[in-house]
Amino acid sequence: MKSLRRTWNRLKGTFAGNRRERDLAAELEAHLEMQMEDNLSRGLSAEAARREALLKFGSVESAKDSYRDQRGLPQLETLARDCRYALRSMRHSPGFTVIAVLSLTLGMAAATSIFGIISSTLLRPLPYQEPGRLVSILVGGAIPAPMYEKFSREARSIERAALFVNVSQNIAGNGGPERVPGARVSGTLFSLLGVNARLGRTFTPEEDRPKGDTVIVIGDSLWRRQFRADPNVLGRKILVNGVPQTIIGVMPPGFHFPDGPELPAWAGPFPPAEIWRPMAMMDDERTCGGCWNFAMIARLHSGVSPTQARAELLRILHQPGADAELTVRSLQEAVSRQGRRPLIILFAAVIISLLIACVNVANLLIARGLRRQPEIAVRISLGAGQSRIVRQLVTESLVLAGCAALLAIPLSAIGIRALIAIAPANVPGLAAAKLDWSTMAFALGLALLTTVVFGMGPAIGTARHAPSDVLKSGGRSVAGRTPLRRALIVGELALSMVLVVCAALLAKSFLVVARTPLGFHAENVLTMRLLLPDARYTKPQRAAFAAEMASRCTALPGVISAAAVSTLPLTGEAEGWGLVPDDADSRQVDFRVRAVTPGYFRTMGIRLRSGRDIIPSDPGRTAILSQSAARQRWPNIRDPLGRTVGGMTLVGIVDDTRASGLDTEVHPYLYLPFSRFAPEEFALAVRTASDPAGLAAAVKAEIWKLDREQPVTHVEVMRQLVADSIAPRRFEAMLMGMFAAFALLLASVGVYGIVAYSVTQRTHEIGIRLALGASRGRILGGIMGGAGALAACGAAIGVAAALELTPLLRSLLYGVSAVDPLLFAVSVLVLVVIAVVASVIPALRAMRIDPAACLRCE
Amino acid sequence: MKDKTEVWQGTLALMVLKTLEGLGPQHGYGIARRIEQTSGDLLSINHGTLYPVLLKLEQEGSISAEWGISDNHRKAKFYRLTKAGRKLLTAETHHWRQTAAIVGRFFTLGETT
Repeated sequence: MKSLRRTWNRLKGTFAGNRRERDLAAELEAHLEMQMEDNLSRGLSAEAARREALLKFGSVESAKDSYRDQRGLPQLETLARDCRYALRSMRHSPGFTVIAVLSLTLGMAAATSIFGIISSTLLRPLPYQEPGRLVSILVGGAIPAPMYEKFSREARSIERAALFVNVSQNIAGNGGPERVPGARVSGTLFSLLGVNARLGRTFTPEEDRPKGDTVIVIGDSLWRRQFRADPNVLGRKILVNGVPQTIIGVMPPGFHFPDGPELPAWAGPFPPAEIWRPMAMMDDERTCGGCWNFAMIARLHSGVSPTQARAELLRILHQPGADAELTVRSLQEAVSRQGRRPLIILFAAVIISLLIACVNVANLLIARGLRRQPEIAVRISLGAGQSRIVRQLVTESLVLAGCAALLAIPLSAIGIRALIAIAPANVPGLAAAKLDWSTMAFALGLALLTTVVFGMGPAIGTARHAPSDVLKSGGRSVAGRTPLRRALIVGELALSMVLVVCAALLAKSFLVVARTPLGFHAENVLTMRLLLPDARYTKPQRAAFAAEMASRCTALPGVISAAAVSTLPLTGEAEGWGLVPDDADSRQVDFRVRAVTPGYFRTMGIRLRSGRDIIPSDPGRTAILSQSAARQRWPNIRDPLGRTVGGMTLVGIVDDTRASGLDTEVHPYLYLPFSRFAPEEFALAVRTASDPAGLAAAVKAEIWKLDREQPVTHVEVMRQLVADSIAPRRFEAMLMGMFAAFALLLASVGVYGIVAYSVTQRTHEIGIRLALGASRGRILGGIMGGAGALAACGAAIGVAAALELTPLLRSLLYGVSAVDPLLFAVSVLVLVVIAVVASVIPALRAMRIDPAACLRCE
Repeated sequence: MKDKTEVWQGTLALMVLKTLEGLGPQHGYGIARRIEQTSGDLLSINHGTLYPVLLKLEQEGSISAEWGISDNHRKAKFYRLTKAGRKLLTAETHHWRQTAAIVGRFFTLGETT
């Protein structure tokens, strides 16, 4: 307590102004005068009295000094003095300061931005109670209701469990018809997650039974959008899929279960849920052991690991082959695993960039240290200890890094927003990324760390020179050779080389993917999605709707053709899978199935290789295969038209398409007439003569003529869908390219710095060589060659490092080897050229040295 | 073993506290004079060394200081013992007596054998 109080008072004393100093002087003066008066009264002369008093007192200055030391905290005062000194010397060399602070700022801002994204996507805790105990339980990707009931009844490791399935709902709200992503969930789900409604309540057990499900819970965003955040929304009836339902609760903002990795894989990318209906399972669903329609989530008892729970469930399941099928996955881990690899790689890249920036600044500091040798030598000779000098120099580095961190923090706020803007959508938590405390703490931590990395070495090196050597050399610095600086430059070039190679590999992958033939023509195609719920449409009605809609749209001016399809290419939506019975003469093939209306191939620009398209009068038992599907099905038959596939007659063969993704293998496709299984959700594709976006309003108007309550969503042009499907690759390639460019810029500044420095050092020597008849071209070549040699060293080390590191990138690459020799060669060339270019200006300066002037000044 | 000056500083602080207890509020010069007188002029301190000690005691809250007028109408800073200072003095006096007694015993032991 006492020492705390003393420290506080000393801290206050540190920042005390002149008043305390005056007080001290007055107090000591009063002391001396009182002593003098006493001496005078003892009969001494005035002069003797004063001398006696001073003698008695001891040194006034030393008393003041020890008083001051006691008053403040000397270390803190030294630090403050060093900081002031550092700022002053930074002002005196603005060129150095700008380059050092700028490169550190850019490096730190980039690292902080990426960290901000990582902390809000990979490190974010799920918005549920104790998310660490939540697991998803699936058998072969899904789970039927009887298995779920067996698990939740018998497993002792499970505290609570719930079933869910994601479904979109059409609602007719105030703001026009809308299709809303949502889920059917067990009544237990909300209490399992530990999230309560912000308004109203969630489902009761009664509402989770058949016929009880006339209630819905809505999300905060839907509540704001459709109901203008009206608090009286509870009890309101709205039409959901054409059936009136009562709103009983509004969930808090940010609640979107199931979202991202909480979804089972077959759901594909599904937008965050905003509307929830009770499961209210019918008896036939409850007892259907083969209906793999649901996903299961459970809260484990505390202390039970997912692995332990899995072992217990396996015992309960007691089925051969279950071991390979059953997954028990921690939700929190799933969240942090999703998209982890690219982000971790980008983070590594950004840390390398920062390291390069540090090396650069270290280099500048060494050069600056050499220039400051005389000053430092004088200070050492005057009695400053080496540790004191090191402390001073490290403080200067700290001030540099601190300035950079202060600039980097606002810059990274912009960086995070820019990253969100260019990042592909569908990364959970990304939109919420912002500059929070942990990110700022990270930036400040970086400042400290970089100071140690770039400041310590040069500081020690600078303080170690013997002052006598420096002073003897008459003010000229004694550097001459710069092996350490050259080594640093080589290291910097090597690191840049690694980044350049990575960027080249990612860019090549992107280009390969972007140039992959689609198998269809994406230009001038307008697409949109619809949902015709079972509650309002029977299957034949739906098929009639699709056919009518397609023909009406085709009749619109500017439209070439239009067709409906169950799933559009490249949207990543759940693919249709078909179990096609085996025919005697052929092989079993895992077809992907698409239901299409006549004219689909013409609309999408998929070439018909043989046979014919589906026609309206087809009885529904006709089929069309993609080329590879036909080849897999009948490997030995040249013309399989007319044969049957799963009881359907093959009438045509079309080109292969890469409809499931440009960077996946070509899948075999089976196309069926739309009327065959007219799904609830489907899409409309419209080929237009010119800009497709302009026709969106007219097409929507046609749809609304058929059904005024039909929401039309995802209105996009196909070209955009293609671009979106490769957006993650573009994002990765772009960022890596930016880091590589940044690294090259820094490296070229570094090369420029060291070449310029050596030219200054060698002015005299170059002058003599010129005077002795060396050609100017030779001087120029020598200096640029030196830079080239540095770059070659850096490139050699960089290639060796890249060969080790690029295989880690493999999962992000497509159509290019991780050790592609051509790309490596190009990268080496780029590095050497940039290094040589960076040396042009100082080399030209060396060439123009006037030997006469140079020798005269000696 | 403590550093020599530290021991000395500690002792000086105790003397200052004891002096202030006896004299009441007093300025630095007065304290220095009084310590010298009490020690029978055996102890000669550099008066300058007194001030850091006074400051330290003030920072700890054992004494407080304010400007006042001395006997010869001079402006001077007067130090006064605080409640905490009194408590510290009692504790330190006790501690000092104990230490002195123990060390004394060792010396008497040495003399008798």
